[in-house]
Order: sequence, then C-alpha cells, then structure tokens
Amino acid sequence: MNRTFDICIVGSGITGSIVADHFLSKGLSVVMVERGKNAYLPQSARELWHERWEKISDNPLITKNSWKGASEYFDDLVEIENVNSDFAFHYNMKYGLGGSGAVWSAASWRLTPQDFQTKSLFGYSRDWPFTYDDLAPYYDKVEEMFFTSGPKEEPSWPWKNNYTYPPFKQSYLDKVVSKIFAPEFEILPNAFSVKNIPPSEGGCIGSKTCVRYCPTEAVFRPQIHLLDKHLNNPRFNLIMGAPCMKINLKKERSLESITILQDDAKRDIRAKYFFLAANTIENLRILHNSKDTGNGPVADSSGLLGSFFASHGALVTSVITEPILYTGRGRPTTSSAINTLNHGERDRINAYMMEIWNFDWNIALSPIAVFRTFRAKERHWGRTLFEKTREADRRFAATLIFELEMRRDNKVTLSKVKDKFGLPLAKVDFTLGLRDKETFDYLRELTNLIKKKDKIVDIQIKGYGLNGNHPLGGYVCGEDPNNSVVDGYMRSHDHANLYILGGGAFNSTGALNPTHTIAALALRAVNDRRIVF
Amino acid sequence: MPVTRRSFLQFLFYSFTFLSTGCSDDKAREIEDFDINAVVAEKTFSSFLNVIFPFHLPGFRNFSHELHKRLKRLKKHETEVIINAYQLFKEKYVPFGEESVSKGEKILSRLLKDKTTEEQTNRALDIIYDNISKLRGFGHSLWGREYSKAGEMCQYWESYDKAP
Ligand SMILES: Cc1cc2nc3c(=O)[nH]c(=O)nc-3n(C[C@H](O)[C@H](O)[C@H](O)COP(=O)(O)OP(=O)(O)OC[C@H]3O[C@@H](n4cnc5c(N)ncnc54)[C@H](O)[C@@H]3O)c2cc1C
Repeated sequence: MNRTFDICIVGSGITGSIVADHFLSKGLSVVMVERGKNAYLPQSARELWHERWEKISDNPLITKNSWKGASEYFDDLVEIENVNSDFAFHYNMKYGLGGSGAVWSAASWRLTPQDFQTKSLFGYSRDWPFTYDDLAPYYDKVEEMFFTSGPKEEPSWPWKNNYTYPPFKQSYLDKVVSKIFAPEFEILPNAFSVKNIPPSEGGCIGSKTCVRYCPTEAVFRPQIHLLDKHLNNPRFNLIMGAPCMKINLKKERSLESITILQDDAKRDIRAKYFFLAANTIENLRILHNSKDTGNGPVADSSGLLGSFFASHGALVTSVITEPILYTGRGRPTTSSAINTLNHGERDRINAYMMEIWNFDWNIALSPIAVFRTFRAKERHWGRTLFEKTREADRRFAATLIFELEMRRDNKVTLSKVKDKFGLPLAKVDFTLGLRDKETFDYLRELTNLIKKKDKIVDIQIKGYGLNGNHPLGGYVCGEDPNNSVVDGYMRSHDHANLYILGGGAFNSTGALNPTHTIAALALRAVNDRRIVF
Repeated sequence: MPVTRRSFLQFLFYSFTFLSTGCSDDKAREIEDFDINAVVAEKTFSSFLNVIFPFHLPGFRNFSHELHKRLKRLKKHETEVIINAYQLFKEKYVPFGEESVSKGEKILSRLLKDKTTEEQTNRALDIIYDNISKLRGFGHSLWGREYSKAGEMCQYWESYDKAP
C-alpha cells in the first residue's frame, strides 16, 4: 500500500490516544497500530488486584503476567526477562485497545517542582530539560481532559492544581488513620481521574473494582473517552491485532515507514510523522529491533538507548489498629501521605509517599473473602479464624512508594528469547543504587516507628519490589544529543519525524504515579511547533 | 444406619484401597450406609460444629441450623469426608467427661497436628467452611454490618466518611 498518512501512532494507550485525538481534531489523517485487540473487560470483577507471575521458559527469570481469567480477555500477555532477580521488574503493561489505560487505577499526580531538578538540587538522577513551570500548562490541560477530581490547594502540596471536580471525601478509615499517624504523616485527599459527580450522571459509585472494571465508566479510559468519538472518522485508520515489529529509515535518517504484522503477513505503513506510544519497554523493544543507517539501533547515537531505566520502589504493609476502621467503604483508596515528597533529607534518601487503602488488599475485600482467604492460605480454624476475620475490619494496606535513582547501568536491552511474533523480549538489568538501599532501609525503619504508635496493634511488611506498572527512563530527555535520546518535546535527536512517548523519557522518577506527567509530555510533544503540514 | 466404630474403621481401610484398586459394588454399598441425617442430629455433632465455628455466640445461632440443612444436601463423597473427621473427633471427645468448646478445640488441634489425621481433618474443615461462607447473611454478621459487594455501588456511598 503506497498511501502516506500524516501521522502514524504505535499503541492505542493513554499517549497514543492523546496523539490521535489531537491530530484527528485538526483534520489530519491518522493511522494507529495496536498489537492487542478490543478484548476488555470482565463484566463482573472476579479478580481485582492481584497479578500472578508465571515462569514461561527454562530461564527462571523469564516471566509472564497473568490474572485469573486473563486469557478470556487478552489474547496476549506481556513477557519479560529479568537479569537481576532480587528486585525484579514484573512488567504489567496490557496489550489491547486502551493499553494499560484500560486498567489503570487513575491516581493522578503531578510531579513536584523539585523532581525536575534532582541533579542540581540533590546530586542524583538527571535534571529535566525544562522546569515544572514549563510543564504546568500541560498538566492543567490533562486535568481537564481526564476530568480529574482533587483538591485545588493543600498547604503542604508543592503545587497548585486545576482540577475539574472537587476531591472525593476521605473515608472514615482515612480520618482515623490520619490521627494515629500524625505528625510524621500528613494524610490528604488524592487526586483521581475519576468523575466526582452524582452516580445518576455517570459519576463514581465506589464499586471497589475500578482498576479492572468501572460499572459507570467514571474512570478515565483512553479508548472510551478519547478514541471512541473518532471511530467513524474516515481519516482515522485503526489497525488492531497487529504488532509493530520495526522502524524503517530513509537515507537521510528520517523515518519512512514501520513494519507491522497483520494476519501473519508483514506490511509497511508510511507516514510523515511517527509517534511511538507503545509504553516504555515496548517502545524500547521496537527501537532496539530496528536498524539505523550505521547498523546500530534506531535513535541511539548517544549510546544511551535503554539506559537510566527505573520504576518506583514499593514497600507494601498491612496495618492493624485498635479502633474499628469499617473498611471497604467508599473508593478503594482516597488518601495518601504526601508531606514526605520534599522532605529535608533528600540529599541522602529519595522522596517517598504513602498510599492508604480502605481495606487490606493483602487479605481480601469483604468479610466472606477474608474468611476464605484466612482459611485457604493460613489454614486458620475455629475461634482464631473467626477473630481474624473480625479483625480485618481494623486492617488496612499502607503502601510506601519510593523514588529510585536513575542510573546509567540500569538498562533495557533485548533478550535472546522471542515472543510469538518473533520480536525479541525485553531484558531488564536492574540493581538498587546506594541511595535506593538507604531509602529502603529508612522506610523499613519507618514501619518500626509506626508499630510503636499508640493504637497500632501491628504492622507487617507484606512485600517489596519494583512497581511493574510504572516503567520509567530508557530514552531520557535532554538538550544535548550526546547525553539524551529525545529532546524536551520527546522528539528523537537522531530522527526528525520520530517522537517517543511514555515514561521512558523521564529523567527522575519522583515518588508519585507517573501518568499525569506522561500525558502532559505527550501533549507537549503534539504541540511541538516543528510539526508542520 | 448410624456410623459405628467398626464400619468407620472399615471405611478408612477401604477408602485407602479404593484409591489404588477401585471400588467393588459391595464396598460401595457399605459407604452408602453412612447416614448424614442421623449424624447431624447428634448432640456431639453440634459441639463439633461449635468448635469449628463459634455458632454459640450471639448473632450466629441461627446459622448452625442453616448449616445443618446444607450439610444434609452435600454430595456423597463430601459427606463421607465430614463424617470421617467427625468420627475421629467424637472418639476422643465423648468418652471422657464433660463436653466443652475448649476441650473440643484441643482435640481438633491434635487431629490437625497428627500426620495420620491432619489431611483428612483439613479436608472436612474446608468443606464445612466453604458451606459456612455460603450461608445467606453470614458475611454481614461477621463484621456486624452491611458490606459492599465488588462491582456494585458502595452500600455507604453517601456516608463512608462516618462510622456506620
Ligand atoms: C493495573 C495498573 C494500574 C495503574 N494505575 C495507575 C495509577 O493509578 N496512576 C498512574 O499514574 N498510573 C497508573 N498506571 C500506569 C498507567 O497505566 C501508564 O503509565 C499509562 O497507561 C502509560 O501510557 P502509555 O500510552 O505510555 O502506554 P499504555 O497505556 O500501556 O499503552 C501502550 C499500548 O501500546 C500497545 N503496544 C505495545 N507494543 C506494541 C507493538 N509492538 N505494536 C503495536 N502496539 C503495541 C499496547 O498493546 C498498548 O495498547 C497503572 C498501570 C496498571 C497496569
């Protein structure tokens, strides 16, 4: 096919949908290539939060994510190879229309102003090529586009917001916990890209299942809220079930086409501008699998492609209090402690925050589920089983999310193992740096402090590791082509018509959920004045 | 016909051999002789259930009656598992003095620690707990309040910021 589209997008998730919406609204022709299918989501929420990780080859470090019933909804699940197993990255991206955005829990934070300058302020990670203030107008737009709910101003927040709706009420549990955890933790309402309007108008109903399935569509989902309205637009070509395998260049190094696999046949798609929006690690797989004119990977003249890879660290705890908390009422989570983001010791330890969940998801979501879990997993019986189930009404999960240093040695390359389409899997090589270890130790100490607090019966560490939902870095941004992969508009330094979107462009992880920033960067990219027709 | 100690021991033996050899018609008939209705009617069986779950506590008494009904409707192989475990319990429980929950707990605890009885006792408990968890209204009583079901509107959407 000889047609040349104005815009070619790889991936239909949050960033891909933002790009499609932007250019279609301007009357341009857009082709979007999506590896997965329109295969979402359970009508009843049988499995809510817990992902399982299966070994899929003789190499014990090659894992594949899955969850109960996944094969019914996804024709394909992400596989990955970890080189270091102690703090492994279990990549959780979802192939399908909407990408991870079809299952995200929509906690919608901005990064803090300091996060953009950690190198110059504290000596670690990398400074971004622009400041918080430069990105703020795009954050404002994202909050409008994602109908975000949150408080406009909180005294200890390091930024101001432009949220569409007011914040959700904090739960009773949040208020009790707030008192117990003070003064070290200041527990404030979160921002969510979830409509806080009456249920009769399509607002949130607190169904507890919104990560997988929102019965009222109150959660922002890219495929529903950005793509749906364009589906009948003749200028929009959506190709599903077709993985992009590689990128093809012209002699002068601009992109000519991408090669996709459609119905088992290879096909090239030509366009003027290309947006890789396949999520951090998938973008890296495509770039590593493509050849530049000098035979190295595409977009890698700096030699940094895949480097500075990170995610957030997570330390998951179960807390039991003396007072009854009446768990499981309201949204799954409404509040976090975020006064810890710009703490005074950031020259030594990284930023962190604490998410408060309105139940202990380490056990289950309802008394019956708790009863069953304690029986099945811990083999309790009799009075103990009864008391443990009762006690669950005084339990909640507190998750400490922490920033990780972006270090050159942590990187994503290609594995020798290939997926079912013949695309090599990504191989993640990640070790904790000195600061990361100190932060981790510090947070473990912090759990001891919580344990000693009045009205705390117990706190148990249930697990820790790299957050599989937040792959960041790998094509870091900067002004210097020798020291970064993309520029401040996410455009490849090497290829003038290639934009690489997603968390891969981050220069520091911050300690907050990244998608608002990912979306703001995508908006900044599509507004790059160098895109001309 | 109620289960006798002899027929119970026979069952233990047969059930083991059936696993490896299969089951003849005669032996199958003997297993059918287990009478769950009679077992459930025994006073000690109620004590057994009280050890498994504190049905004697206020708010839970009616559930034991409902559970009896459910147990009577179980499939044959499940009934057998429960009766076997109950017989083990009863052997140790009845002959020596007064019945009490704490005495029952000690016996059940020993059965669960003993390698020869552990698996069988746990299997019976799993079936009983599975049935308890299916009793209508049981979840609400566990926490003493309504709870919200996954995928449905929160029961407390207007007032989740206050104690119920
Ligand atoms: C369970 C879960 C909960 C989350 N909760 C939050 C949260 O509360 N807050 C927050 O900030 N973030 C959250 N995230 C992260 C958030 O979903 C991502 O940051 C965001 O979706 C990334 O957007 P993206 O466009 O880069 O990638 P995605 O939305 O993942 O989209 C990538 C798309 O590319 C497609 N693709 C991949 N490879 C190819 C290929 N070779 N060819 C063609 N198409 C391809 C994929 O199928 C997918 O559709 C969560 C993620 C998960 C999984």
